[in-house]
Amino acid sequence: MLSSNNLALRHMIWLIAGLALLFVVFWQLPALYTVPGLAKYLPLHMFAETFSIVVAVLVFGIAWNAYAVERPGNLVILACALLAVALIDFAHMLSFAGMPEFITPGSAEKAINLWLSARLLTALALLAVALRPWQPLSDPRSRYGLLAGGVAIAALVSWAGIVHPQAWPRTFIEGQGLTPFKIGAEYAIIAILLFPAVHFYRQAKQQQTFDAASLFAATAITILSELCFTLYSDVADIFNLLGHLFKIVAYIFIYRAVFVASVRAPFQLLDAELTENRRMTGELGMYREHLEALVAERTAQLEAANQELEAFSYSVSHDLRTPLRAIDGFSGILLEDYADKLDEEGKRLLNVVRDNTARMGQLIDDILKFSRAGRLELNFSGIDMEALARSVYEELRLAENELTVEIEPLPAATGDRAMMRQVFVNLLSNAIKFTRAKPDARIKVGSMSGEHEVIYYVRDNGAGFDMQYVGKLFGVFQRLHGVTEFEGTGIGLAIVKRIVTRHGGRVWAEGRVGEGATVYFALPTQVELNPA
Amino acid sequence: MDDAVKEVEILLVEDNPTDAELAIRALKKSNLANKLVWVKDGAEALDFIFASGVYSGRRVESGPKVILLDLRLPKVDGMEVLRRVKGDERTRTIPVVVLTSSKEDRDVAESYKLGVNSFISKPVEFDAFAKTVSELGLYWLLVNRPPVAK
Repeated sequence: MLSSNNLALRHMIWLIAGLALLFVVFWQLPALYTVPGLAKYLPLHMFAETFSIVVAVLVFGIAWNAYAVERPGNLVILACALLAVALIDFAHMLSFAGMPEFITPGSAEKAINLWLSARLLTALALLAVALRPWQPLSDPRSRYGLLAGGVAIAALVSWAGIVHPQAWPRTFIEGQGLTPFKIGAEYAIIAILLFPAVHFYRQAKQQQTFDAASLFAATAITILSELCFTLYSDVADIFNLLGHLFKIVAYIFIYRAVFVASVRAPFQLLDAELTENRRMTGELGMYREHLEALVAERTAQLEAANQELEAFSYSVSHDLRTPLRAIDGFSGILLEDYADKLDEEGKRLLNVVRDNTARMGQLIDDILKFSRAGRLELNFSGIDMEALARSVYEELRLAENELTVEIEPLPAATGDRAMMRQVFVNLLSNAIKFTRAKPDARIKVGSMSGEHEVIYYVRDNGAGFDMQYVGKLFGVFQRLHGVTEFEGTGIGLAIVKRIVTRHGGRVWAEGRVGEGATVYFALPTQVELNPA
Repeated sequence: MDDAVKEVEILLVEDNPTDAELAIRALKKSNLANKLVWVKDGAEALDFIFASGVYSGRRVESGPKVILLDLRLPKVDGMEVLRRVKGDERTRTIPVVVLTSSKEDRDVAESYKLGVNSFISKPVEFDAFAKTVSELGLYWLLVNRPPVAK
């Protein structure tokens, strides 16, 4: 933004030094006239004044129109003051000695009075800008007050200067030159300008919130301009002209400060923000692409892993069963064809082989079921749990003859139908198996509502289990009974647990040895869209 | 050789010699193994059915009364054999019974799509296996009426 402030400051100082040198040179030279005679000087003066008025009005125009609530109020103060100064300078120009009558005749003193007023106003404005912290107006509407005030001051001063010139102190005596009052006034103005000059210089070195360097230059050159006006002996001489020139340069620097603050700086800020915005959008786009690529990669990896598992399961189901069949078959053939050559023990041994092969086949089937329970995609739909339980019961009842299963009304659930069926099959089969030895076997399927979940249970009054082993109940191939007591591989509950977990639910059980067991599973009432 | 292959009743396509032995034994028990030919891979099966290669002496029309087909075969896959048999006018009517260790759903689906007549998963226990095979044989050779010969 104002990054090269120090560099700018150095340039300013060089310029000011140059102008000061110019001043000194002319000071030392004998009196000089750029143009001989007042009449010839007037157009030059008019040109100079008009130019500075235009710059001053420009400053007002820009600062006023670029005003925003969050912009510093100092610029508005400067703008309104400069507008007032422009008006007074206009009156001054029309009051210059030799100009046609402007309400009252033109005279050197009339012009000087207005000139002094304008310069004083400028100095006070610069002082105010230096004293006031560079911050927004506490009340944005106060700028109208400032404008009105500025115009009012301009009107008042102009009126006093034009209509009542005699009321002012003497400033110029024809033949003698400037009065002490006049010179004193100029020095007073210079004194007022000293504080802002130093302040702006310091600010230029320290910060970059505003273009202090330009304001420093403006103030310093205004001082130079005023020095010129302490020295001139003739209104048309070189010092007068030089003073006017310096004034123009000072205004240009004020213009620069205001323009930069009101127009260029905001645009630069906007530019910087836009660039930053674009950069961030670019980065975001990159991240998004990267993320999508990452997701695609991971999905591909997952699919590949799943396919590997599929192939593995297929292989297991095919390749492991075949030798099993051979072992079983050929031991069977041995038993048949060589029955007469085998004693009881021999036959028993072979039967042990065959029993174990059958068991191994069962284990393989169970592993595959378990794997499928974890691997297959779930298809969620509404499930009439009561109807499902009944249907499973009907199926199992065909195998068993005497069976009383009480199925209470069950609330519907959302889940994978086939998987839920498997849950009921496993739980009811277990209940049936463990109550087979009991004469008055009772099995009950019920439900209860919980917090954010529905709890279903299958209760039986069969063999039950010791609660101290409850942790092993749902383990893979974990059994609490020997195979001679109850058949099975110990995979049923593990499969139930896996299925229910995938539905976002949980399982647990309670039991008492000899009295029965209850297996609970809870399904959440709020089902997520993407199940595990 | 000529006589036997002319009047073949059962074509057993099975790469595993143990499984083949068990199957043949079961069929023998039911007296169904007299006119049985055993081929060990898909290519040989196709050669036999379509009377090509080693079996060019055959006539396609005198095809087996039933084909017992394993799916996992070397050289030419069981599924491909099934596709060829069911895809050819001359052999489409021959009943094909897939007898495989696989229990995979997709194998079942695919086979039926190709027009298999029956799909049996080989039981692990020999007794069950033997029972299944002999029941199979009895059904397709005796109970079931074959298509009318041309």
